[in-house]
Amino acid sequence: MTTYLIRRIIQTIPTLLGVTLITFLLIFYSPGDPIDMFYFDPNISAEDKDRMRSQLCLDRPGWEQYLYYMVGDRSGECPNQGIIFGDFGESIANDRPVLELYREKMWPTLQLTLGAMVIGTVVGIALGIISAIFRATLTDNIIRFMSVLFDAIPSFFLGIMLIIVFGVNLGWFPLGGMVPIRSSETVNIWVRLHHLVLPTIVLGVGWIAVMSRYMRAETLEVLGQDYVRTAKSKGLSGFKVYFKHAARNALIPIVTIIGPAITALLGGSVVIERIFSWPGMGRMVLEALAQRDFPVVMAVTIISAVLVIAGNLLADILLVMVDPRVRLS
Amino acid sequence: MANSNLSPASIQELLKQENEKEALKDDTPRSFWRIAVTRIRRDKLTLTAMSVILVILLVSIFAGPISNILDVDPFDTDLLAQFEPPSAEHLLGADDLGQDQFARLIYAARISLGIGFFSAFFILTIGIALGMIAAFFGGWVDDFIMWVINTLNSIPQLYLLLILGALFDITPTLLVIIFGLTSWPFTTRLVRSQVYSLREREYVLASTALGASNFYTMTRHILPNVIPTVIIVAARAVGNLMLAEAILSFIGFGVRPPTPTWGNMLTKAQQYVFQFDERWFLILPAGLMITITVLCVFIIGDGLRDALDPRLK
Repeated sequence: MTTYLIRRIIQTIPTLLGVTLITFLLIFYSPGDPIDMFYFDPNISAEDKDRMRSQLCLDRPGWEQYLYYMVGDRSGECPNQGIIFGDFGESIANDRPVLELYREKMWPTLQLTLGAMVIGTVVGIALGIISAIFRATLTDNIIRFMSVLFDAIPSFFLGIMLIIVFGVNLGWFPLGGMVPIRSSETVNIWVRLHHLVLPTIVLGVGWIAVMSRYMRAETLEVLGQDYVRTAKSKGLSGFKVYFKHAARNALIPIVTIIGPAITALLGGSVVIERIFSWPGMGRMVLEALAQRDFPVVMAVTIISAVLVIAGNLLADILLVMVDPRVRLS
Repeated sequence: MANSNLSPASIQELLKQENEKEALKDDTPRSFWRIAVTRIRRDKLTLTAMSVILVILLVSIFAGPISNILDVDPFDTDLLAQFEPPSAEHLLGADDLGQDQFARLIYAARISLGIGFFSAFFILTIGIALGMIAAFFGGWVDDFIMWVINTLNSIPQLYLLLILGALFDITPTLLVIIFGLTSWPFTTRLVRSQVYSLREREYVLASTALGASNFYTMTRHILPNVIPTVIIVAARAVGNLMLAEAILSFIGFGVRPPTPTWGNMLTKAQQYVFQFDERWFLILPAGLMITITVLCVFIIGDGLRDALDPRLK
């Protein structure tokens, strides 16, 4: 187990390097000079711009810049301390360390994604099991159709429609934001939850669809096995057979989708944060992209990739821990 | 599996399978593809989805003549017609620039479908080629391809697309290339693992024993067996790419106006949430078109899966 763990962790190193390399190359070879783009002011002379460039080390060759970005510059000529030491540089638009901005925007996104993950997992697993129990009946067909439908609706369209129906027409939920705009209203946990409902549902719906399909297939696999028949013939109630005996084994392969789940939720939150004016990472990325604030874009991309890689690693370890068959092979 | 679980549903299922066997029994031997076609012919949901896609496809191909007959143009702006509700002149009303929404909707179909199908084709070409190369050569070639796949899979794809969308002036063609270059890992991985497992089959051993070269065995014996899996993946890919295009264009990092796509037609939709009663025609048609089209593509994908590989059902 320990050897496996160590081997698996070492395997992530080339992937992490690849992620930083791709991100860096994309930004490095992007058309347009960041200094020209930021200082349109005609009063700034070409020499001043050159000086700025050399201060930011933008006049160095690409491989040198990449090196400084990764491990920093020991001579102290360039501002970077290196991302492996936790320095992602400064935001050009905000003049603040990127990591500080990130920490600020992380919590709103975390609330959103965790909420969506909980809803998606609980509802998805339940629907998947029900679908498998009533295989090839109307219930199963309805659940399966809904799962395809919710995959097909673009999240922004669903979000806008929910805002129109439940926000504007019925007035049940706020139209967006994390807290009320008017400061006179008190902000307690209920107000926050109230604001979370619509965005979490929109983000969670796609996850419900994926989860229920996956769970249906796994449950069908398990339902045919002898121990389920034994449980049934012992006279256990249907609920116990399906939700305790069958579900337990059907759940094992589910851990493998933790990694892809993080990818999907992080991507999804960009769109949803935009529609619901949610002050999280997704909106930060969009703003940074619009302003060509590359340090922020690079940091968010790299940190997200680290999260995904960590998710995949966690999934593999969990799988080995819960499923002895995987350990043997 | 069905025998151990004799609920009414499974008996029904069993009977259905028997019927199918009966129906498929015929004196003449049939090829794999003939059987698949017979299965699809019996699948009403898939057939319906196929007809809907066909209609959308035809309308998008003949978008030019259709808008000529209706005497509208997707690019003509007319400030006098701003926010005009649906009428005989503008079937689906006009937007904030007075552009005809119906003409834009059918021209957008061309771009959305085109991007979906062409990039799926692109992805499959890269995916099959790289997947087979990885499995064929093994060693460091395989390691390198797997490294690229793992790396691309770790970056949330939307972030990658957003960066590229922000850096370049996106045209539909460029978007197809970008989708092709960023979305191939899934197909490659699938083809690679399939080839690895197919290589162990007896008929491959037989072919090698008869003196066939590796290349011959790969293209003649292994490739045809990979195709069914690839078709199933392709159908899913078309839908997912159309969604990705819509999301990118909606956020403003995809295809930009005046070129209409269903995604960028909805960019301003959120401003109209308070005037839904008067401006519904600027929100519903484009959103419903994306949903219906992608839904049909996914249904076709599921139908193909059931027809080509019943074990996966």
